[in-house]
Amino acid sequence: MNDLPLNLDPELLVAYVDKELPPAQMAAVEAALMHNGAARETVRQLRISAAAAAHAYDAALNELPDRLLLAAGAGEPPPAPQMQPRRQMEPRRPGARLRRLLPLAATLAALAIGLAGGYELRALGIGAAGPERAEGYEPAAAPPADLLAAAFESALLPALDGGAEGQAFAYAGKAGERGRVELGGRFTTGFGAECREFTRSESRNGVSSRAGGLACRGADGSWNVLLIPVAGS
Amino acid sequence: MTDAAFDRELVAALPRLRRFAFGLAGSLDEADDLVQAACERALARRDQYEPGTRLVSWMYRIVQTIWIDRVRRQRAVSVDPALLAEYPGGDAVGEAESRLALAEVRQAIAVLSPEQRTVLLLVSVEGLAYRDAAEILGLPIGTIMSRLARARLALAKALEEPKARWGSGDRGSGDGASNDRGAQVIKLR
Repeated sequence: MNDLPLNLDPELLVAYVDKELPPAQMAAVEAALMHNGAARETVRQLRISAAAAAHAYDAALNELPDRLLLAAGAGEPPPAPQMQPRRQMEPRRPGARLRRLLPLAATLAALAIGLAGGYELRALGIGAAGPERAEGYEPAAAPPADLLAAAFESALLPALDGGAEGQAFAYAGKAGERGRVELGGRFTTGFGAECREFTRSESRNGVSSRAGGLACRGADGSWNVLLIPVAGS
Repeated sequence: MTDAAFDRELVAALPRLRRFAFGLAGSLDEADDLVQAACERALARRDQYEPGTRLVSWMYRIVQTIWIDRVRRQRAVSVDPALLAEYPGGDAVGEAESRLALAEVRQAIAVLSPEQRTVLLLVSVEGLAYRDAAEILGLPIGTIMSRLARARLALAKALEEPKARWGSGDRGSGDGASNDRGAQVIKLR
């Protein structure tokens, strides 16, 4: 059955990217992609657009207006779906839709409601770590987190997943804070981990800094990112 | 389903319906109009709802039907890009800059055809399976796939067009001292 030439048209590739194909077909597409650079580029585009769209309308999840609650015949506002606290890391189920939706949702929700370090996505500075793990999440009144760092993480994840070598991604925090990630090459380590290099350039109120980054994908699919400041930048 | 259970589910679906309507209409005001009209229609036709099916799917369809009627009536609802930029991705903090990216995405989605936009929103924003989107829109899955593929490729193209996102001279390579104190490790899931 796999002997039939696969026609890697965008309809098939979008279903592949969205994990809507049965396992055998997923594998067949994956194999065919190895020999088809144009189709790989299409896959990349289909991925970044999905990541971009996923949270573009989250503003609608905040504060339902009373007139809607009245129209729906209810008094109590329901909890917004993205803002439930997750106390424990959920085991990753390969292929589950949630896998790619939840993490970004968490970062962006944290960004949107100004959480102070709510989710497990927050940067865990090694050394400086301490027992700062959040229990649930802070109320929205908490002081805003490091927006630039949060924006960096939300930009980095889709970039690592779908960005091409040499591609740059801009992000911004508060006024006067902006950053840019530029992707380097992709390689596989001797022990089989998929890694990518990148550089990060940031500017906070006129003070700029550069760091080199190395991201390697663990067996559970998550990226482990090492950031090393570049001297004299 | 009892009336009370129906009401509860309807209220629980409101945030998602509002997000979907925001994507269709392009502004939160119009989204609220749409959702309000959809709730009113749903309550009036409550007896047509088939218990056992997902209420939220039924509601997505009602929102979409009302919207497409409006679109056809007024033909070419051009969404004002300035208006789209007014609705940031969150409201607690006052920074406009971090929201540029989301506003850009919304602008790029707003210029898609209504058919492509609807499918994109249901699948890539609302997170529905192709089968559910097909059922809501009454379309074959193949049509969902082709509209979705075209929408996603058009969106990617729009987002990757080179544009002047960066102010002049801000290449992040100035000579300021590094404000990073040491290496840092992050885990991204």
